[in-house]
Amino acid sequence: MSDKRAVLVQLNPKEWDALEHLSKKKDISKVAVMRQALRLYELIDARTTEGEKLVFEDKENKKELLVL
Amino acid sequence: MSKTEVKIKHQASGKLVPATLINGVSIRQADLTQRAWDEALMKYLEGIPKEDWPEHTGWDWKRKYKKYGRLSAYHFFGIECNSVMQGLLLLSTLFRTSRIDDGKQIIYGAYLATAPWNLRQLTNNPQYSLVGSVLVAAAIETSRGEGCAGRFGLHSLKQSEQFYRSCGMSDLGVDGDHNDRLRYFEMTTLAAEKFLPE
Repeated sequence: MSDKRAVLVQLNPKEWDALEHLSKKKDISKVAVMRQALRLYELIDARTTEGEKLVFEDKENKKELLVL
Repeated sequence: MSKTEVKIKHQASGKLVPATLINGVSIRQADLTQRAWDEALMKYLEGIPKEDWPEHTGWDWKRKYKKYGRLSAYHFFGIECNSVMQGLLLLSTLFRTSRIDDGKQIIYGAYLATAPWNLRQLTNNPQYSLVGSVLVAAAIETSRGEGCAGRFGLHSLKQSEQFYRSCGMSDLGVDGDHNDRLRYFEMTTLAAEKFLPE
């Protein structure tokens, strides 16, 4: 028996567009996009809860602190 | 946690012996493994010049568990044989883009190591072989389960580069963006199919 659980999600048009866009761009299913989003959210939450900061770096090595 | 029966090679007898591939190593197992590996390392490293030590000598698996083990994005694999962990793999299922198959998604092997008593560079009589290969197979299986068709990438320590080449992974050269400037390797779908036919 599978230990997976199902969840029904209702998305507004903007969220639906984002889901479709990412699914197409990454060539993965919409379910895979949702799973990736959850995993990333959990990771970022765990690290920022520990006091770490999320930083993006552009090609000129300019760092931008992402405030969450 | 899931357990799968696998085979690794007992070097002294040359026979394949049963072992357990664990997906979901616990903090207790990570702690016990770290202690056992540290103890063995202390014994083996005596008399070996520091430049010949395994590059992953300083890795702390209990710390890695605390940082990644509970997160849904990570799979913590271990191969148990004789009630001792023979190898460990920490795999990230956060997708990255393949550097070979344009636009395709891959998963990433963050850390992979075999027990000190299985390393040829430490002992002339390693206890088990094929441990690394079983862990590479676990990465391929996980990639398939995630819809990545066997593709995964990793940055290899210098001492392990030849092993990953022997698995059929493509060597894409030194990654200038990597903190330690390690070489980056990728397993393609085709190479995965050769290594572990579906």
